[in-house]
Amino acid sequence: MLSPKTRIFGAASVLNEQKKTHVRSKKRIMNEVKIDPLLSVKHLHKKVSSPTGQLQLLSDVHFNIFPAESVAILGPSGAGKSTLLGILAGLDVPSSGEVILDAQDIFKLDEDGRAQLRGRLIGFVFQSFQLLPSLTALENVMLPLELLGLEKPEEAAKQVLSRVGLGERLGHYPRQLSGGEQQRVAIARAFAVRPKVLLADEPTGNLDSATGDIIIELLFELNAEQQTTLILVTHDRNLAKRCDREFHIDAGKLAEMPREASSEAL
Amino acid sequence: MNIFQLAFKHLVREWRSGELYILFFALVIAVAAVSSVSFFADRIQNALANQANELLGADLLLSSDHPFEKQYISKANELGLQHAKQLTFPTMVLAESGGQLVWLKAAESNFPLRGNLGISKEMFAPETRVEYMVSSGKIWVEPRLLTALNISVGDSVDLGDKTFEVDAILLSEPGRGGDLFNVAPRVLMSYDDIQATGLIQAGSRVRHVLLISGDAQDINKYRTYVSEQQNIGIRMQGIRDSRPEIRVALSRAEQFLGLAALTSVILAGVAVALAARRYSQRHLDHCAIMRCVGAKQSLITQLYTLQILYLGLAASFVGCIVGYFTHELLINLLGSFAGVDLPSASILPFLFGMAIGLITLVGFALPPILSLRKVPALRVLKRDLGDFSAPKFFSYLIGIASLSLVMIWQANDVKLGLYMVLGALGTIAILALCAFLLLFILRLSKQKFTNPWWYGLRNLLRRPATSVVQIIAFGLSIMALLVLTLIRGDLLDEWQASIPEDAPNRFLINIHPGQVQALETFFSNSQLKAPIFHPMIRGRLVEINGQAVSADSVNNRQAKQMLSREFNLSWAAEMAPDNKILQGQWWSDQETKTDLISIEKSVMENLNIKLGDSLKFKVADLYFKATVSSVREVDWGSFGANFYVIAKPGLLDEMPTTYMSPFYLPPEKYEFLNDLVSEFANITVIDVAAIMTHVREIISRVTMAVEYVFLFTLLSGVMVLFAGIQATHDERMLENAVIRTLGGSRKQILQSLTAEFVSLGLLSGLVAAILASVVAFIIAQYVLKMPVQWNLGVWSYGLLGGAIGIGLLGVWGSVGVVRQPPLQILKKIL
Repeated sequence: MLSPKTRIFGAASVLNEQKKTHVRSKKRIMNEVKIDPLLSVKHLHKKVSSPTGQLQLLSDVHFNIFPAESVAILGPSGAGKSTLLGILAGLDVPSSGEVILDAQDIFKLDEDGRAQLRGRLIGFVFQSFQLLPSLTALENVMLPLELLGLEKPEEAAKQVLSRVGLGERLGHYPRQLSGGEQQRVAIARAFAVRPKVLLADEPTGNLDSATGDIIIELLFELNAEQQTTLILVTHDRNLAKRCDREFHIDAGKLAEMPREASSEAL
Repeated sequence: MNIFQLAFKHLVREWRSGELYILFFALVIAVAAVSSVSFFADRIQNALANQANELLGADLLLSSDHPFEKQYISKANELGLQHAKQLTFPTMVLAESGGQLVWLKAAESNFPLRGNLGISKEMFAPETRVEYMVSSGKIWVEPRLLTALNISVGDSVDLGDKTFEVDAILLSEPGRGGDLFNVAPRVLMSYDDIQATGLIQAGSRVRHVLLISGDAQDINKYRTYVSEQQNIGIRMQGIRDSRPEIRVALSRAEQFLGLAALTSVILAGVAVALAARRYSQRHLDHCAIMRCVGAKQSLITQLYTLQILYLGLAASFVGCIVGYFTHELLINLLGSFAGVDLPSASILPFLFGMAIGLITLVGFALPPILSLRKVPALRVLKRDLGDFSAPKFFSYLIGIASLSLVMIWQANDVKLGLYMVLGALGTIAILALCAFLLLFILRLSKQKFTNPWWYGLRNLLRRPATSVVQIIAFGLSIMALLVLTLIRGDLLDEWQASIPEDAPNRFLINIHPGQVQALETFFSNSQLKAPIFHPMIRGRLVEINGQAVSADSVNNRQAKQMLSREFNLSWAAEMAPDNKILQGQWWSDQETKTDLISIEKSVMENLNIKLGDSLKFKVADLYFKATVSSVREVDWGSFGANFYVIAKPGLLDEMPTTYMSPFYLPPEKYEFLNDLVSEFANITVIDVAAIMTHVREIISRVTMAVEYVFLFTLLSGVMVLFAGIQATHDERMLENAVIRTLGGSRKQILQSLTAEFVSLGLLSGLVAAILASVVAFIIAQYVLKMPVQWNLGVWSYGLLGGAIGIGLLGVWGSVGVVRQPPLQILKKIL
C-alpha cells in the first residue's frame, strides 16, 4: 500500500510526461487556430491614496490568457501581485481598465454579479489556506457547492477530497490537519466546482519545500485533468518555470518574460 | 437544497463547532429567567386574587335593585360557574325587650362561594371558622345586636311573620368588606326562609346579589357577558373593584415581580448583544470566503437571518421549558400557598417567553450578524480592511423599540414600563459617559503604574471602545444586582412597614359629636391612646358649575357609581400625612375664603372636574356649595381614614355630622369593645383585622416570591459578565500568547490579566453604585411611592463585588493562555 504522498509523486511523474506533450500541442494549436482568450486584461490601473500622496499599485497592465494555459506572475513583495490577483478575481476594483472573463467585462457587473461569476468560473487557493475553522474538511469543500445550489454536494466533495488524498480525513477540523493537508483541502475546495480559472496566491508560501512540491504537483495534475486555466502568483522561479507563460511585475508594471527556451526545456 | 435546509445545515455545523454556545445559552438563561418569572407571577397572581376573593365571598359579585333575570343564572350554569343568590335589606328585629333596625342578609346554602364564615357561641369568645351556612329557622347575628336587644345565643326573635332562634354570633363574613359603613348590625339567615317572613313586598328596598365563582377564564367570559347586556342597574364587583387595600397590595405585588422580570429582560438583551458581537467578529472570514466562492449579499443575509431565527426558536423553546420546571421548583420551595390551590399555568407566559427570546435575538443579535454581509471578499487577500462586524447604533433601534413594547406589556403599566425603558436607556448613556470619563482619568495618570500591572491597565486604554462597552455591560449588570439585592430588601421592608403593627384594626363609626369628649376619656381610662376623630358627613354631589348632574347624565361607569351614592365628606385643617397634593394648594391658616374643598384624584378624573370648579352637595335636606381648591392623591392601602372630599373647617358646620375613628386595639384588649358597646350603645365597631391579615399575607408571600425570582436575575447578570469577558477573549489570548512567545512569564501574564479585569470591575462597580443609588431613589420615590432609605452597602458591595467578581471570572476565563502552549493558541486563533 502506497502512502498518499508516494501515490501523488508516482502519478505526478507520469503526468509530467503527458503535460510536456500537452503544452507543445497546445502551443501549436494556438498558433494555427485563432482562439479567444479566456481572460483579457486591458490597460488596468490601480491607484490608492496614502499619507504620502497617490500610490500607483498597477500601471497599464495589459495581457491575455487562453483557456487551459498556466501562467505565473512573479515579483518582489509589494510589487502589486496580490492587488492584480484581487482585481482579476473581481475581489477589488481597478481605478481604470477592463477585465474580460469568459467574454464578460467583470466590472460592468455589481458586487453580487461578480460574486456569482466567481462562484461559477473561479477557484481560489491562498497562501494562508483560508479554511473555515468551524467546518470540517468535508464541509469546507462542500461550502461552495452548496452555495451554488448543486445537487449532492457531499458526494462531489468526497470525491475531490479523495482525489487530493484526504479521503480518510473528511471529518477533521482544520486545526487537526497539518499545513500541507490544509492546503490540500483548500485545493479540493477550489477544484470542487470545476472552475474555468484557478487563482493561486503563493500556494506554497506557508509550507516547507517538500510539502510545497506535493501541493504544486497536485495543482498541476488537477489543472491538466480539468483543463483549468491556472494563474499563479509566486516568488518561486522554479515553480514559475513549470507554467506555460511567465509574467514579471515590478512597481505595478507587468511584463511577459520570453519563454521559448524555458518552455522547450520543460 | 433550498435556503431553509441550507441555513439549517449551516446552523448544525456552527453548533457542533461550539461557535453558538454562548449566544444560545445567553438566550436560554434569559428566556428561562423571564418565563419562569412569568409562569410564577401568572399563577401566584391568580392565587393571590383567589385568596383575596375570599374577602368578597366570590370571584365576582353582581348586585342590583331588582331580582336577576333568569339569563344571568343560566349563563353561569352554561359556563359551569358556581352561583349563590342573596338578598340584603334593612328591617326590624323584634325581641321581648324591644326592636332594633338590622341589616338582614338572606343567602343560599352554598354561601359563601369563597372563604368561610366565622362564628362563636358566646360573646367575645374566639372565632370558629365554619364551612356551613345557618340552617333554616335559625339566624346568626352580629354581637352588638345581642347587646342592643339584651338577648343571648339560644333566644328567639321575630323577623316579619317568622320566629327565629339566635343560633350563633356572626364574627366574620365574606362579602362584608366592601361595605364598612353600615350602621345597623347584621343578621344572616337562610334564603329559603325569606318567603315565610313576608318581609319582601312590592316596592321594598331590597338589594339582590348574585355571587359567582369558578375558573378565571370563565369568570372573564361571564364578566364580558354581563357587560354586553348593558344593564346599568347591575353593578359588577371583583375584589379589585371593592377593597382599595387589597387592590394596592396586589398591584404592588405585580409591580415587584414585574420589576424583577424586566431586569432580566434588559440583562438578556445586553448578554445577547455582546455574544452576537463576538460571534460576528469571529465570522468575518467565514463571510469573506462565502463571498469569494460566489455567495451574493442577499444569500448571506438570508442564511444568517434564518440561522438566527432557528436558533432563537430553539433557545426560546428550551428556555421556556427550563423556565416552566424552575417555576415548579420555586413553588415547591415556597410550600403550599396558604392552603390555596394554585391555578394551572396559562399559555401566556410561554408565548411571552418565546416572544422575548425572538425579539431579544432579532433585535440585538441580528444587527451585528447582518452587518457581516458587508464584509468584502477582498478580506481573503487583505485582512486590514476594518471591522465590518460593528453595527451602527441605529441598527439596534428596532431591537430597543420592540423590547420596550414588550417591557411595557410585561410591566402591565405604561408608566412603569416607560420608566424602565427610559431608565435603561438613560442608564446606558450615563454609564457610557462615566466609562469614558474614568478611562480619560486613567489615561492621565498612566505613568504612575508599573509593569506588568500597567500592561493590564494599558490594555483597557488601548481598546477604549471595547472597554466602554464592557464597562456599560458590567455596570448595568452589577447595578441591576445591587438594586435587586440590597435595595430590594429595603423596598420590601418598607412595604411591609407600610402597614405597621399598630395600624388601625378597628373603626368606630356613628359617633355623635357630643360623644367625642367622652370617648377620649373612655380610651384613656382603659390605658389606650385616644384615636383621632374624623367628622363624617354623607352627601350626594348634585351640581357641577351650576349644571345638575346625576347617574343618568354621565356615561362612565365609575362616574355613574359616584353620582348614584353618597360621598363620605369630612373637614380638616391639616392634610393627612398619607395624602399628597397633585394640583392646587391645601388651605393655610391665613386663607380667607371659606367655601373651599379638596377632592380625591379619581373624583376629578371620573367626573371631569377642574380646579376652581364649583360643586354643590346635598346632605340630608340641606345643600352647600364649594370651590375645588386642590386635588389629592390618597394612599388607599394605608388603612387610615380617608375621604373623597374634604372641606375647609367651618364650611360644613351646619351639616348633620357624625364622627368616625380608626384605632388599633391590641388583641389582648378585646374586652374593651364589650365595655365600649355597653357604654355607647349607638356606636358601631367595625373589625378590619381580617382584611389586614390578608394584605399582610399577600405582602409576605410576594416578598418571598421576589427573593426567589431574584435568583434568575442574578443568573442573567452573571451571563452578561461572562459574555462581556468573552467579548475580548480572542484578542487577549492572542496578545498573551505573543507575550509568552517573547518570553513573558506566567506570573506576569496573570498579573496583567488580574490588573485588567480588577480595574474593569472597579470601574464598572463604581458607575454601577452611583446609578444603583439613583435608580433605587427613582423607583422608591416615583414608582412604588415609598420613602427612600440610603444604603451605603451599595458602594462597598458594588466596588468590591465588581472587582472580585469580574476579576475572578475574567482571569478564570482567560487562564487557558498560561495553560496551553502559545503555539497551540496562535494556531487556533490565526
